[in-house]
Amino acid sequence: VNANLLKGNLDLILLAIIEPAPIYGGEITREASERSNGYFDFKEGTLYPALHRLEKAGFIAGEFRYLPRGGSPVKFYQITPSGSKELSEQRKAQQAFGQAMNALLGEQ
Amino acid sequence: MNRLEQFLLRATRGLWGRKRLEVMAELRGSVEARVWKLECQGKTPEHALETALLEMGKPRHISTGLMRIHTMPKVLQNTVLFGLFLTSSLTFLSITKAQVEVLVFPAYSDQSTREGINLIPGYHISFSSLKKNLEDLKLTVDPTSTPLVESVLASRDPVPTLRFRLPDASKETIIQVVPGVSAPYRNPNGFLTYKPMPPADLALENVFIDPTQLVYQLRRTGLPIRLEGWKNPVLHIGQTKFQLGNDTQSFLPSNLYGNMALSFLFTPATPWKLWGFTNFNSQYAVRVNAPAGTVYGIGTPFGGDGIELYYSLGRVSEQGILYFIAPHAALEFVQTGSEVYQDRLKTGELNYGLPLRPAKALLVRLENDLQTKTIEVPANKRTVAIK
Repeated sequence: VNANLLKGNLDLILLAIIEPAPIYGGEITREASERSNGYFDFKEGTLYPALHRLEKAGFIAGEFRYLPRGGSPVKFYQITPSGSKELSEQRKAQQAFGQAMNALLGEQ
Repeated sequence: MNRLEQFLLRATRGLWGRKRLEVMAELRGSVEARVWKLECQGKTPEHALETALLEMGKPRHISTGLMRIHTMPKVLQNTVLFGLFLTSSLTFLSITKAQVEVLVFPAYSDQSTREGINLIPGYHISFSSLKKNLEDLKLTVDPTSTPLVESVLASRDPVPTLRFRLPDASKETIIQVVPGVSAPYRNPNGFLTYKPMPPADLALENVFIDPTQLVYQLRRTGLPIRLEGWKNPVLHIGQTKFQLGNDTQSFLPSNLYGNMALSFLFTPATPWKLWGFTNFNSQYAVRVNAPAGTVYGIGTPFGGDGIELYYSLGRVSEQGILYFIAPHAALEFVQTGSEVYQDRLKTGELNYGLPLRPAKALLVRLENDLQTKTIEVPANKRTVAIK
């Protein structure tokens, strides 16, 4: 994956994955990989700064929960109302951008 | 120190205090979850951990990214605040009370209590901050360590120990933290030791203590103890005052009130192993004769071995309803702590905590004071959970 492309779209990717249901860091990377057929295969560690940035911005909210297996609690993230709004706006912008790019590239 | 601990320390380098512990807890939870899955797939524990850490990536990358989010803005903010502090400190030179830095643990519960007050997060006091406060108050602090008990010897030697004598106390107070011991633990020297979870910021060589344990130890001096206020309360111990928390690190004394107010009612008056959360909560609504906003503590036996006490807090709504949670489906409110204390031996009985055999419970009205309290029993002594 082109690092710049990923960097520019990381927020959108994370919000889209978190949107359906609360999910924790490790599952997010695996979900990203599965839903993109392996295209987005990034290290879990690179995720946390982005998650914390989104949490700080109020787009997602983290909460520690115990899993049924026991052990240490795991931090689950879920999308907030402002995060949903942000996701909706980013989706529209991305679709518009994609259409414009396709139109442009298709002409060449 | 094992590989996971090393990884966590490196991945959180550059973060401070509470935030660092929060991030460590998050990373630890995520790694453990992955390790568990890999073990289920047949990998050995060692191999599973190695794989999970590899999947996390380089700890340096994590710490660099997190520092950008958390530390750098803080540095800028602190620079401005420090300038303001220098200006204001010229006009404010008298210190009337010490301020104890607190550590706020992340919410380890997924329970939402509606109108009830969730007891989580728990608040802990910085050991080094407490030591500094005592020194600021010109109290003699003896930081020498005591010998460790072999059976509880864990990773740290010598253990952090504070000995000091408050101005009006007849005997000294000893606060000691022993790793690897569940709280509370009484060592052969006769004083209480305690291991908080998680207890330490290893990089800063600081540990954190439960304020309940601090108050318990200070009670042994024979001095009157009073807690004043809710947010950032002031702890009065004889003539000495400590303010717990400050504007940047708030302290809410729910655990302290819950533990101390309830444990004083029982014999022996020692800190209990208290549970402020459980996965088997029932939600209660009880009409009480008290103004809206009044806070109550609720205590009831919990746990198969009969030595644990569940407690929670509730606040009276505008309609005069007290909402709270408890681990049983049915409670019978009683008037004395001894009845609850005796009932602890019955928690293993069939139907205990069910409508056929309600668990004994105590309601304590909390009045911002650890010394006095009013017990009220609702007219309907038996209440079945509404959920």
